[in-house]
Amino acid sequence: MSETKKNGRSNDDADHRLRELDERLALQRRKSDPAYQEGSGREVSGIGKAVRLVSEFASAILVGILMGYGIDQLLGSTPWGILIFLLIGFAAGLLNLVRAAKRLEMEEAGFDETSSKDDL
Amino acid sequence: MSNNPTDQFKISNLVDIANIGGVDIALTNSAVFMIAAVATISLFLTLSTRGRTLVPNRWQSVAEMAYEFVANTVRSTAGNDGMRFFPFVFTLFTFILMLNLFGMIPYFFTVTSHIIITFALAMLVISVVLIYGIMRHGLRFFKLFMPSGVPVPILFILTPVEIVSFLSRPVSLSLRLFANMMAGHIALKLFASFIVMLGGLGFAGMLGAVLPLLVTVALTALEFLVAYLQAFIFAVLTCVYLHDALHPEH
Repeated sequence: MSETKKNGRSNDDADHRLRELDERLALQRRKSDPAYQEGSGREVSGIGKAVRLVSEFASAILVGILMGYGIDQLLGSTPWGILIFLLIGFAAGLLNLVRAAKRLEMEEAGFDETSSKDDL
Repeated sequence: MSNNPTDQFKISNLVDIANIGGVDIALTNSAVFMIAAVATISLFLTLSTRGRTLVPNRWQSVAEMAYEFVANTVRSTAGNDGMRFFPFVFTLFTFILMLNLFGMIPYFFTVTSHIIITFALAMLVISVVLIYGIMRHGLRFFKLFMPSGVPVPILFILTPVEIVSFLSRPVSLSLRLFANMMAGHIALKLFASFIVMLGGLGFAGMLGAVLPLLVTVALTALEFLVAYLQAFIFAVLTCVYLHDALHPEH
């Protein structure tokens, strides 16, 4: 009886120490993770992110306007093609934005866990 | 050197080759730098892997790091079956990276600051996605434009939106690379010419010129980062689009 009790206590002790080690390791990992580090590198990647998102949005609207203009030229339906395709381009731009933002989030979460990005 | 910040993007004919039906065919400075980039990459990779030792020397480990970096990107973004496109992605990445880095050397021409170059590269990517997707999946590839599990009335709105979104990919891919490279080089040129202009104004001007000098140094570092980052983003997005070609069902 006393034997098992002693064993149990030493197991608890080991568990406790393991947990402590886990916590310390996690802390160190977080410290060395570049995503958590402050500084100029972060600002630069912020500008890069902004440019990426803006180009996703703007290019869809551009393509929408061009398609609408082309359809108007072909069918002679002057304001309607541009109007409708501008709206479609806007929607596509938003879709692009959401997807790009999702992708950015995944990149920040780390490349190892991104093998299941089926919804992109 | 003139002070005009856009003069650095001028294309000049170095060797005239032919003139076919009013179309000038010549070896331009842009073409020369593209050839130089390809030659540099080929030479570097051939020479650095010539030894093929088990414990790599300095040059070989750079080549191996480049290989592993791109291979990891392809695997994590396009999946394991995306590795069949590894040569394509690796070529694109090293080509764009080398062109961007060449642009950072003073007096060198920045090929990627011309939208026709970046657009041609983006169209190459999209053509590969389209042709491979249709070859492998046939008409099922067009399911890309019809997300599953969407009610039919919504499909009438969603399909055009998806098509425009797909068509906007080459545009955004080329716009991003071109805009980053051009804006960066114009900013560098502007601040560098401020130094010269202020420096011509006597002692007070020279003191004032310290500020644009600092900005130029900082911008140069930033531009090196952008040169690498844009090549990387181009490669990642290529992989994302190739993923669509491999698995068109969302």
